[in-house]
Amino acid sequence: MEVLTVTLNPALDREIIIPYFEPNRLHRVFERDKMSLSPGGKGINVSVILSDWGIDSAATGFLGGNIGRMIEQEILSRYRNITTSFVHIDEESRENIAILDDHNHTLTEINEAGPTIEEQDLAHFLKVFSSLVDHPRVVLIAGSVPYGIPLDLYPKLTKIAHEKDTEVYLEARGILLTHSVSTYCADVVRPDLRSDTRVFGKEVETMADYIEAGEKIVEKGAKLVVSSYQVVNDLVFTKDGVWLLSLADPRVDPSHLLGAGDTYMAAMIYHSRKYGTDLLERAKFGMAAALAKTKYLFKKSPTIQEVEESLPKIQTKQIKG
Amino acid sequence: MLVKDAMVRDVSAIFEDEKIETFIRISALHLQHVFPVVDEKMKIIGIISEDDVISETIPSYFGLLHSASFIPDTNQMKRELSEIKDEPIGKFIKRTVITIEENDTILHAADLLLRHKLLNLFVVDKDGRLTGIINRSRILLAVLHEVLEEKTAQEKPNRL
Repeated sequence: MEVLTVTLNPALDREIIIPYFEPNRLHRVFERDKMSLSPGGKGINVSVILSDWGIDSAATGFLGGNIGRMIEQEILSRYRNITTSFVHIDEESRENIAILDDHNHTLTEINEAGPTIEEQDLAHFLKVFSSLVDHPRVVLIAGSVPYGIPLDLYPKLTKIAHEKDTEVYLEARGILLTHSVSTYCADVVRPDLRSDTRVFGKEVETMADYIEAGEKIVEKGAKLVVSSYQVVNDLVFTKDGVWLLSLADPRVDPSHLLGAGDTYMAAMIYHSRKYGTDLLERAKFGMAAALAKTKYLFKKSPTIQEVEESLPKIQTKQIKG
Repeated sequence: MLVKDAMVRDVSAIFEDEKIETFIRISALHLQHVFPVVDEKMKIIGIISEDDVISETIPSYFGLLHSASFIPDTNQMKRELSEIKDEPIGKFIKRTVITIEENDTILHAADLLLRHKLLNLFVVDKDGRLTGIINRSRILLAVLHEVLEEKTAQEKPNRL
């Protein structure tokens, strides 16, 4: 297996399409195809997309209770290219609800916090991770951490992976991101700025803020940093410079953005496995995949052909270096 | 039909140095009565089942009796379990493990399951690394799917 994904706080994702959605109203959903249930959490989502593209991966993390078992069963019964190795715990895993309004084009997301991890389960997870990481070439660590997980777990996992010569991709937000890259930085980092725009304790707003934050993560040891900028643009940082990737046609339906970030990460991993080491090309491929994903309303992987077709729609401008 | 077409790609495993208590907790949470024991490279080195633990907690002469119904309570079991609960599972595992590879046939898997009276068979790659698990119902399900597919194919002959 080529890739290992880590999801410490997996979820059962419920997506519901409700036209004219608004609070304080009763909405009934009559059609089956307006609702979907799928295993989720960033790492699992990336495994699913890679599986759709024919790349084997193993998924690990914590699953809790009946919801946890349901998540595991969903993964195993749907995706032949995903191997599971989760640590099961007593408390229930979380459910995430996304309400997509295909008329007013809004996306409303409700994400639960999830269970608390006990010390003994964390110790068991570390053993599982260490033995799993012996084999793959890439490890992806993404998403929030449940209660009970110390802040230095991501850097610890990164270090274990590096001891086995495995490349580490990280997507995280807020304090967790700052602490992780400062303590022991991953190779490819994508700050998740959707609900927390602080990096290194500072709010990022202007282009200059973004550039400062990105360059600092490169300084900490990342060889590639990609950061979304004003939703439809991306900033790419390597030790050789800074680039702005933008869309020739910047109109993207915000209700279709669900899963775009995970598609981005999966596509960068796909690119590195199939096409080698060019970092700017890797980031562009990621952005093309995220763009191709926005064709679909639900969480759905674009095909590799659709990703390739989106590549010419991306404009590259070098800003620094 | 091959093992890889019917197996479950779950590699939940336990390590030799875990405590019996941990094993009991894990097997209850996984609803699984037997676990592969792996080393730090995910290579399978043994198996441990609930039977292995239960047999340690009941007196050895029980096997000679037809029934344990005249034993009034579980005190002895409690005593035995409290003695072994902190011991590493390594002491209790079976080190001879019958495994199968992904490219072996389902027929071979079925034969092994019956011959050795097993409920699960662990699947390994050529280096002995755990890649999944196969059991009787998965085999039956895979064969059943094939039977049903053939039946539908026969019922709908190719049209000209």
